[in-house]
Amino acid sequence: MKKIEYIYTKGAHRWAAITCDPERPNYLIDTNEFLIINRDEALLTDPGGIEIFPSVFSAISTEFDPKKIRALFASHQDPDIISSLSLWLDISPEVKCYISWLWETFVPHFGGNNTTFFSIPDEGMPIPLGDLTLQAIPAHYMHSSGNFNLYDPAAKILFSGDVGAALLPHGEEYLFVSNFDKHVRFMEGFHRRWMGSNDAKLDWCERVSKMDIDMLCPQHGAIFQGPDVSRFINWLAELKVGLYTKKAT
Amino acid sequence: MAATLNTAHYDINAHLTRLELTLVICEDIKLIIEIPFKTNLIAVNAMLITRRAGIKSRGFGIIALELRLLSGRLRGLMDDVSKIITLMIYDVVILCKTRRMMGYLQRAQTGDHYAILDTAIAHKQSAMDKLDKGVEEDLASLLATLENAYDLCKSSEALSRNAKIEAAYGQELSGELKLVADRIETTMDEITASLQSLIHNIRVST
Repeated sequence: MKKIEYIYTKGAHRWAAITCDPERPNYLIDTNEFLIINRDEALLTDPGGIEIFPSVFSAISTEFDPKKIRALFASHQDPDIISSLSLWLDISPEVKCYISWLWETFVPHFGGNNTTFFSIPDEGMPIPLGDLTLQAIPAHYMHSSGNFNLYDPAAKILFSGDVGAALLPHGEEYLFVSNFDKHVRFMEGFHRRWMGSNDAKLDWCERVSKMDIDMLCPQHGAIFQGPDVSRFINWLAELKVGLYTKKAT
Repeated sequence: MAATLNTAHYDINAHLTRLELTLVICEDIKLIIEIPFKTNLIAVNAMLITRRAGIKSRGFGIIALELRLLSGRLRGLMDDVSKIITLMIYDVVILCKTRRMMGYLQRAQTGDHYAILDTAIAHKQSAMDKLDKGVEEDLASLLATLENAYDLCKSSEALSRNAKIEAAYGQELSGELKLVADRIETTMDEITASLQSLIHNIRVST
């Protein structure tokens, strides 16, 4: 089963990371879900696929009443991001899903109807949660063509979706990056292949480097904190992406 | 066979109701999970006062030690309760997931290919039967653990009575010891009542 851990707490405002399921079968990519709690309501980022739903749900319920999750944030349309949607709707039919306008007619194949989705325009939008205002940050082509990150200015945390993702070896997962140089080997191949556009990448790096970020939380792998945030952005800016593995140098 | 399976008694709403009940139990359990912490705190407090009072409160010291032991045993039981309820939620959620998947298969039964779908549905049904049994066992085990905790607290009621008696021998510290004895009594009453009400609610709701 997955475990839940608080990575930020300030009064009633908390971020919990739901990570690393040791019983996860090898054929499923590991995912991180983040529960942003403000007072008595919460938003769940990239809630995950249908296969891991029982594990995510059970882990959340040990700390927070899952019926109080008001919204889901889907960074993009992939199955490991949002294929559990119909199960979340079984639990709370009123739950809303924020996703790029580009995917609003594709993702209902996983579940939901015309009242389920809040379309995010290309330029992003504010997302209210209790007395907080989160911000959907454009990250198009990083890797999906309709792709968003989610920024919490109060906690200074950026949920970065697939940006910053690392494919950690099974059984060797860790929550925070502690040795950046060693960590690079687990994310290099992923970024070279999954990120298709150097222009989009540089645009993202430029915008995000100007933001005040204490933690950068990807959907796979480990969390960057403190100086490792800018170290990651600089590393990504330098990396040539959009290449087949064989052609990568 | 397809017709029978299509009207199988597995109803998604029944599973969702069951999940809701399990979540309510989980929320109630979160409220009593702090019990061992409370008793341990009182026990430590009682031990400190006992140490200050020296030989005059040796009897009270034994009670404080007993209370500490009780807190340790309760902690073990509450850890078990946490594990069981998490496992139970996990199993009930898998039931909901399997039922939803089965719904898709049932909705697909419009052609002449019942046999293929029937096999898949039968597999799912058998998995659900197993899970159903597992959830029933989880529930029985949860109740048994809570009842153990309740019995333990009930049998320790004598502790608060004895604490009051021993407090009287505390001479100049007897006032302070009496206050601790009163807190032991109040806490034990609170714990017993919370456990009793939780056990009752689980029995009624399930």
